[in-house]
Amino acid sequence: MLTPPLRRLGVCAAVLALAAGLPPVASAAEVLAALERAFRQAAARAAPAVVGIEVERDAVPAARREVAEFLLPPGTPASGVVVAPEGLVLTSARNVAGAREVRVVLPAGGRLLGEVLATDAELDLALVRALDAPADLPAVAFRPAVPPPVGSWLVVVGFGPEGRPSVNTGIVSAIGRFDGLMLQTDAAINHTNRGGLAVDIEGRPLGVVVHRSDRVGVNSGVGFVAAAGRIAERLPALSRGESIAPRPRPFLGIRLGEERLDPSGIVVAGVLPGSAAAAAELLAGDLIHRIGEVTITDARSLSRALRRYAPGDRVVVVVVRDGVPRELELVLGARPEADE
Amino acid sequence: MSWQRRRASAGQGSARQAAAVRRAAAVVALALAALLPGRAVADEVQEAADGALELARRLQAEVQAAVARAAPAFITVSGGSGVVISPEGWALTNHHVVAGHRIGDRWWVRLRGDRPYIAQLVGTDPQGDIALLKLESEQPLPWVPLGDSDALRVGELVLALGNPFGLAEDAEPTVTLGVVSALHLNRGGYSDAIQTDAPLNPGNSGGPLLNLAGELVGINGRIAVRFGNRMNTGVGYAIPSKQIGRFLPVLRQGGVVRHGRLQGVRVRTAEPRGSGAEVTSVARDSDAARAGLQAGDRIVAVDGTPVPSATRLLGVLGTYPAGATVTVEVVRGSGTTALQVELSAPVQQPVQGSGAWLGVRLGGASEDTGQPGVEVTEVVPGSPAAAAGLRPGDRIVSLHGTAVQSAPELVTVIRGLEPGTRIEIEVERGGARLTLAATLGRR
Repeated sequence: MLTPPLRRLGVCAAVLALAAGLPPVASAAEVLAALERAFRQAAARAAPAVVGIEVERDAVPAARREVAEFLLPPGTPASGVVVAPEGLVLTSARNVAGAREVRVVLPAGGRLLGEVLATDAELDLALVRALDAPADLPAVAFRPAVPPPVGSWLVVVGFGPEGRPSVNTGIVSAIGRFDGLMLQTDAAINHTNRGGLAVDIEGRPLGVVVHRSDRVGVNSGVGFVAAAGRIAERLPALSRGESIAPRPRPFLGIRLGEERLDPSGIVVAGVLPGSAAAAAELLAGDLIHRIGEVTITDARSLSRALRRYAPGDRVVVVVVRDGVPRELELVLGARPEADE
Repeated sequence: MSWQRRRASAGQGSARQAAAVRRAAAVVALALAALLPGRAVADEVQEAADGALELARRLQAEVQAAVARAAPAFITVSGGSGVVISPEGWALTNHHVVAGHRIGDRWWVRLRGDRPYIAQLVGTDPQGDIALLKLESEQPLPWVPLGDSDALRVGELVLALGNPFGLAEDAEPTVTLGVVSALHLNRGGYSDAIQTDAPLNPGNSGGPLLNLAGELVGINGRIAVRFGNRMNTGVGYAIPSKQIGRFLPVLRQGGVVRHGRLQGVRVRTAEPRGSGAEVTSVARDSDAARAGLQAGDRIVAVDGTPVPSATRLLGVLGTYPAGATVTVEVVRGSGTTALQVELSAPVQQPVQGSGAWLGVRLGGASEDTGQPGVEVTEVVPGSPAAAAGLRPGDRIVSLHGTAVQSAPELVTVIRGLEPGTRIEIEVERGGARLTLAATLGRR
C-alpha cells in the first residue's frame, strides 16, 4: 500500500548525499525505496518469532479501556515474542492483566492455550507458556547489550491481521528511561503491537514493546521498550515462575514548598505524622539542602536524590533551619503505591 | 556540511508528498514475503542487498550525529523544555512555559546530564511565545547555533528535542524525528509557524526543532489536539529561527517585548489570488501614510519576502519587533515602488504586572481546535482560585469580561488588574458553562 506513493516522491536527495564515500544517488525515490527495503529486511528477521496474544476477560470498566480498543474489531489480538523454542512467550503484562484465559496465536494460524508463568511489574512483562506448542518454534534470544545511540532506527514488529506482521518504524528517542529499564521510541505504539518485538535496522532484538504509564497517551509518539539487556537478566527468574514485584520506593513524608536559590533547596511545607521525616524531627519551614551526597535544587532533584535509596535505608539530610545548617539522620519509609 | 550544498540541487516536494514520506516512515502494514516459510524468507533477505542497509545506516548516522551535537545544549525548564544558544548561557524557551515568572525572576533549570543552573528571565515576547533566559555559569556552556528557517523545505527531516510527559530523568531529552509538513503558517496565534509531524506532546514546549546539521530552525510551542486529548496528533507548530533572530537583540535588552504592526492601513487579498495584498484604506497621520502608502497599492513583498495574500502579509509583519523598519514593495499603477515603513508598538499594553494573583496553573501547550478557553491543570490550595471553586480540568473561557484563548492572554488580563479586585470567571466544565467569582490575591 505504500510503495507506489514512495516511488512518486521527489524529496531531498541530499539526505542521502551525506553518505560519505558513496556515489551521489540519482533519485530521491531510490533513496526512500532503499530505506523501505532496509526496514522490511529488518522486520523479516524479527517476524517469525512474533505471535498474537488473545485474552478473555470479565467485563473491564469502560474507564480502564483505551479508546483505541473500542475502534478495533472485537478479539483483535495484541502481540507477543517467542523467547524459547518450547513455547515460552514474552508479552506486555498489561496485555494479560486480569485475563480469565490467555491464548497464543501462531503466525501459521494455530491457537494454543497459554498460562501466565510470571510477571515483572517493573518491566511490564508477562511470561506465558503456550501449552502443547509444536516443537522448535522460532525464538528470539535476548542478550546483554549496549543500548543503541539515540537517533538510531527502531522497527516494531507486531502481530498483524491474519498472522502477517505489522511494522511501525521510528527512532530511539531516549535510552535508560525509568532507572535504566527501558528504551523510548517515537515509532507508533498501539494496542495491537504492544508486546511485539523491537529490532534495530540490522534486525537485532532491542527489546519488547510494553505499556509503562497511563500518563503517556497511546500512539502519542512516546512509546517504551523493555530493554534487551534487562530482559536477559530477568528471564531466568521469570522462567522459574518467580514474579518480580514493583520495587518499593523510599518516602520522606513531607509536603514540598517552594524552591530556594541560595542556599539551594526545597522548603518543607509540612511533615506527615508518623513518617520518616517526623521521626527525625524535621520541621515545617526547614530548607532541605542535601540528601546524602546530592545537593538539592528543585523538587525534581529531591525525588531523583531519593531514588538512590530503598525503604529502611539510613540517610543523612542537611537542612537549613533559621539560617543555620543542621544534619539529621533519617530512616526512610516506603512510598504508598501510586501510578507513575 | 556536504549535504547542505547538495540540498540546493534537490527537487522540491509538495506537502502531500511530504506526508507520504512520513507515512512511509511511520505506520506500515506490510504483507511480507515472510509469509513463506524457511528458505524463501532467507532469499528475500538476501535479495534486498546490503546497498539498502548501507543507505539506511548512513542516514541513521547523520541523525545520531545531529542528536549528539544538539542534545548537550538541552535544558528542562519548569516542566517544559529549552535550549542554550550561546556559550555565555543565553537560552530560549516558550513564553507560556515561563508565564508564571516575572522579568528578573531567577530559578533552577537543568542542563542535560542533570546539572542544575540558575536561570534568569531576561526578556519575553508573549505574542511570539518566545522567552530569553540567561543561565549563570562560570564555564562556557554547550550551545546550538541558529540555522536558517527560510532555507527549510517541506518534506525535510527535522528533529525535536523535548521533555514530553516529564519523562526526562537526568534532563536527558526525548528525541523525535519527523518532517517539515508546511511552512509560513499564520495560525493559532503564531504568525509564521513551521508545521511538523515530529511527535510533540505536553512538555515539548520551548524545546528546539533542529535540522540534520544540528542547527536550531525553530522552537516548538503548540500542537493541534482533538477531543480535548492533549497529545500528539502529528500536527505540531514551531516558531521559526528567522523570527527569533529578529527578536534576540531586543530580548537581550530585557523586559516584555512587543511586536510591530503596520499602523493605519487596511488590506485585503488582491485579485487574482496570489498577487499580493491590496491596500483598501490609509488613515491620515498614520505610520502607513507617513511611509507613503496609498489606497489601491498592491503590496507584493516585505524585506524581499513575497507576500501573495493579506494573511501572509500580516504573518510576515508579525515576525518583526516593534520599532523595526521594513522595506515594503508595492505595485502602484504600472510601476513598483519600495517604501520604508516603521512598525510601531500597539497602543495599550501593561509593561509589568500589578502583583495580582489567582492561583492556577494553566495548560498552554496546545491549540485546541474547537476547544474554547484555557485549561486549568492545577489549582493552588488556599488560593483565590480554590476559594472560587475552580477545579483542574476546567477551561477558563473569559476573565473579568475578557475572552481568553491562551495562557499568556489570561496572565496578561490578571497582571493588568489590582490585587483585591473581584472578578467573574466564566468556565466550561464537563460541557456546561459556569460563572465563578474570585477576589484576586497578591503574589
